[in-house]
Amino acid sequence: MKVFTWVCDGFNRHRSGFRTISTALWLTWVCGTGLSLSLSGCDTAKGIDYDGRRILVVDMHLHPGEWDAIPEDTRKFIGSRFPFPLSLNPKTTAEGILSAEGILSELDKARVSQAVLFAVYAPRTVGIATNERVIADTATAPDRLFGLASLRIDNFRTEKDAELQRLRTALANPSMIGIKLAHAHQHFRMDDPTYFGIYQVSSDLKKPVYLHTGSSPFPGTSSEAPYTDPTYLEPAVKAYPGAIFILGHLGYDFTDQQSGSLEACIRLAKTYSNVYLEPSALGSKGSDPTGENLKTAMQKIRDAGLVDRVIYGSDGPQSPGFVKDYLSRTVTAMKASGYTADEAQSVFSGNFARVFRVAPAK
Amino acid sequence: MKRALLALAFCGCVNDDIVLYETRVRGTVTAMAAGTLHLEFHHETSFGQRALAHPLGLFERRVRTVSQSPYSLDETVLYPQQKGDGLVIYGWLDIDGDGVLCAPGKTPEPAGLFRTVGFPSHNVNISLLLDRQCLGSESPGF
Repeated sequence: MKVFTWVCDGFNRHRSGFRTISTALWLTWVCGTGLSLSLSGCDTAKGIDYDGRRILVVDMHLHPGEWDAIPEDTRKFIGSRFPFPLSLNPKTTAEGILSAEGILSELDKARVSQAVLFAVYAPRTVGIATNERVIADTATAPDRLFGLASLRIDNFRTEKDAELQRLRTALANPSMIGIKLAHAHQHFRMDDPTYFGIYQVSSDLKKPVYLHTGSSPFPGTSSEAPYTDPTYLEPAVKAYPGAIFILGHLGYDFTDQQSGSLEACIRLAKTYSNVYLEPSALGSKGSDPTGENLKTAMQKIRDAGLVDRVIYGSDGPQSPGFVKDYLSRTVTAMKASGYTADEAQSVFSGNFARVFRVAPAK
Repeated sequence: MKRALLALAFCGCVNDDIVLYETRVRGTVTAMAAGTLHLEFHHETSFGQRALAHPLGLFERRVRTVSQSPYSLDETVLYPQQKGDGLVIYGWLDIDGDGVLCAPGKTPEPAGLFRTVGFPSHNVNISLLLDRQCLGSESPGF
């Protein structure tokens, strides 16, 4: 089975331009060995098998970008997280997976059918991926890739109206289906009404807003509660019932690898019908080595009756293979906490399609 | 530049030169209450390649007990010269002692921000007025 997986993955990498094995070599290997293997065993269909049922997967959290648009301290941090020998040339590794082609390759490896790319304007921490870049990337596979637009916050003193207009302009592109914010990375308080105009845009245009919640491992991040704890977001959630708020990472404390503000996220989702939850990154090998924290979080969400509020995301691509690995770890956590196939379908694609009004890929 | 401090920082196998510029910040902090004063020292603008340049850039934090207003401030800080320019001092007063500015359901707490002029200088005089409730250093409300 491992051999089969390797061949299929190799084929997908080849199709996506990584050229790790040549077509001739691949055909020779598959067709000429005389082994009792058939192509039907090489399942390239999208989706996961969950208790015998094929379920499509949408990954709502991926980051495109350029190495040179990331601050130096963060580049060092990212490079340190790549496995050897990829860590020897982090720029090449990063640019290989941060391009649209690289991301599509990672999606194919994971058999994810659709994904959402995030624009980011966080010059102090994780860097910049412009709206224009995301729009261009989504155009390479318009039935599979969508985008969340963002805006600069740090220049609001002089450019607030212009930034809000730029956000509206980006959202006018049909591939841009929502807004991405990260208070901790962009350094603005969740309860500061100066920025509530962003939620007005979300409400006006019916484009959900995704928010990073919880602490962050990146250098230069604001770690204080008003920037990380979604409790501080409650005035905005109340004031803008027409905006959908998606609480990213479930408020996870990435610094101490603890549940962080999970209970606050669950309380907000139970209290307000416009609050959704997204479990990306917290269950990765690096942030939750045993997988127990992700399992506990998914269990608590299910126990709270909030399965219809969860939208799956990975926070990839991070490093080669991460998108696939995170999906596998999430499936494991959900099976261990009793999610049925119907519930898994909601989490992996159904809730996304409903909230973002996006048809599943053919 | 006799008081300029050149430090060689060794991080792994990478050597970075950090030039620290010593500055004495004196003046007053005025607030309508007593409590714990949280001070932040920022660049006014941080350097960065093209679009990575941005306003502010925290390089030092201090905490002081304030029992009366105005509070006399006298702090010496080491300013990283190559990271940005300008000097901004932000402060807020922790009245309820929870260590958080304006936690939900708690007493509103005052904050203030002072932009120095004529920096760099080894001596800076400031008058920091904490008269805005619940604003972070980044807020356009300053």
